[in-house]
Amino acid sequence: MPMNGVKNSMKTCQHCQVDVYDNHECCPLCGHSVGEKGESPFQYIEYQENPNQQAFNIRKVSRLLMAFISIVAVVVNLLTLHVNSFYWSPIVVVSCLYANVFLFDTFNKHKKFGRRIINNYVFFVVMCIVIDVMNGFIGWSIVFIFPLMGTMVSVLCMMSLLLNRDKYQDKISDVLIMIGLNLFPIVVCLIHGSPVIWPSVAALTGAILIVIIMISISYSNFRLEVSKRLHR
Amino acid sequence: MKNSWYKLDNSANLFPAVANSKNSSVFRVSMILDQKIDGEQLQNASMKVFECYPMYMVELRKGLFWNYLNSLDEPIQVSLECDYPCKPFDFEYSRDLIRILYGNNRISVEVFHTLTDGTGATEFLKSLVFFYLEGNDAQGKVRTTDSLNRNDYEDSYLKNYRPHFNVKKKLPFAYHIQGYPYANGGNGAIHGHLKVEEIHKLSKSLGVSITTLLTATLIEAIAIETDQSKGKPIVVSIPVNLRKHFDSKTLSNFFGVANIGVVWEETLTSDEVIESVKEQLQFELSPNSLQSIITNNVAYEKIPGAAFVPLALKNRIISLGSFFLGENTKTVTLSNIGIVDMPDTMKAHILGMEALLYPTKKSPINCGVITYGNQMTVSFINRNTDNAVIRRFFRLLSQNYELNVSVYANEWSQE
Repeated sequence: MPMNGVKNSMKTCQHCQVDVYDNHECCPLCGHSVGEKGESPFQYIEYQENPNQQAFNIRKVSRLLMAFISIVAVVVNLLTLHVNSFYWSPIVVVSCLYANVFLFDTFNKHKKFGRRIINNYVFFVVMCIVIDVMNGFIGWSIVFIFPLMGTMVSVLCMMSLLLNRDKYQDKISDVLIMIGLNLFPIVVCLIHGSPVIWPSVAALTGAILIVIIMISISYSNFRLEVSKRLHR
Repeated sequence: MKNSWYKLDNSANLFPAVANSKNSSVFRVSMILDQKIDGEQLQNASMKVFECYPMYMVELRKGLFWNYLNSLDEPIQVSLECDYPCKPFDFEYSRDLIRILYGNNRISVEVFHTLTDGTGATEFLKSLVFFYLEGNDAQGKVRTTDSLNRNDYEDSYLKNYRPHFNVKKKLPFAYHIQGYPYANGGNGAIHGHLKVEEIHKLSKSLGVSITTLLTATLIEAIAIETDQSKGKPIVVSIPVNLRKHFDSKTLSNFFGVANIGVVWEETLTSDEVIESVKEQLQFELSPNSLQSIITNNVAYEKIPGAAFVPLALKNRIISLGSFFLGENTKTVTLSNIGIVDMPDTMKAHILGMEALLYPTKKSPINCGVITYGNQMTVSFINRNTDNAVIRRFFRLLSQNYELNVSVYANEWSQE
């Protein structure tokens, strides 16, 4: 008896004791042949041959390679400590990490410009801090690299927003992230007790200036976008 | 609606944290019509339908502490189906949360679970088909622009939160179906049509609900076809539509999950499995149990300071919690959407419906059930190549219970 008025010729699979819609040559349950292929309103589109074939994933290969290099570096470093007591392997590990980000984020067309440079900035700063720490921590990474690179990236995000004001909603996230990140160097410098604080002050001033510019461009949009992101 | 935004409901926060290539968190409801689908006509219908569902014309965005839904200016474009069901959304490319697909006689709506649950998606699909078929009289069965209501957006979890109901259950780790995924990735789908009168009569004669009968049959099928030597329970996770129990009409998520488990023994009979499932389901659907689900869900959100944990860290914690408390404690999910009704003038044009739930690595087979007219469709999605459990399930229905079963599949990756 047809269900919901469906007028279909069905075939029966003797193995499974079920009816099979006419668009199948084989029983979808057991794969045994049930006869010639016909048509049915329930049939799916014919998928292209292997439409979702997982391509050779260069990203995965690169990650594995970086992981391999990192593990080898750590092992070699530990085994040769009696010859050279310097811990150089953490530098290799963070460099591999940054190389991976640089290679795959910088040239990823799907990723937004702002996110690409922010990712690069964050991982570059982490790499510099590790190099600085492993070399006795003079503090150049915190005092100079962190704030000055941050100021540069903020300016780039800001320019990107000014040049694409129709994408205000997209671009403002990057600017807000950078404003947040630029508040950190001054805090870190004060905790570290660094005598050189002008780069951090410059970063902070830059962040404040950017807020003023954002508000002057469109106060209502700025307030709305901030309230969305803070869920307020 | 330009510039408007919405907070995510309580359970919606889970899905962006756990979604990945092996857990798309995308489910699908489809309607099969008596005619080939015209893409242009469907696009026109989709323009109208989003006027009735403005809360679905949104994209997912990240805030500092929570995700949020941001309204879109342009309606979502319909597209010709060309890939497997419940494919993950690529949020690096687009932040849309809903896909409208067509192919042959089928109109499908694929939804990222953050947006809504099965009930919301089914209502959306009904309205879409109503506009596609140029219906005039909705007869109160389909949502149109007249139905817009401010309660559509409400977070019914928060509204029904009662902190004193808090029964915490420690769930054991469940048995997981093993198998090899398709070489080219993707999901296979197998659908079985049952006659509503037949299965209704059978379940009535056994003194149980249809969901109980299907759950027990699924447990039995898994037990027969898999290695049960480890003694872990076979757990079927059943989403429960909480709207009926808490008088809610929200179009956001509002569901709970009832976990029904049986530790298989050789001596167990079908009747004993059915009886065990019946008892557990009755307990899980009691008002106190359902209230407890809501309380437990909302309790995580109410932890002091949780609101100020940065989103990235929050996502890691949610993902870890979901792995141990969700994925590890279930074998399969069986979701019964229920009976769908359409205006009388359209009934002749609609041949059937389907519901497909996304599979995950730990739960590679999932089951969706939906009833339209005199036809119940039991749909299985499978990320593994082996169909043994599904085959056994339909064979149990046809051979043990003598039900008429008609099957078809999407033939994903069949040689």
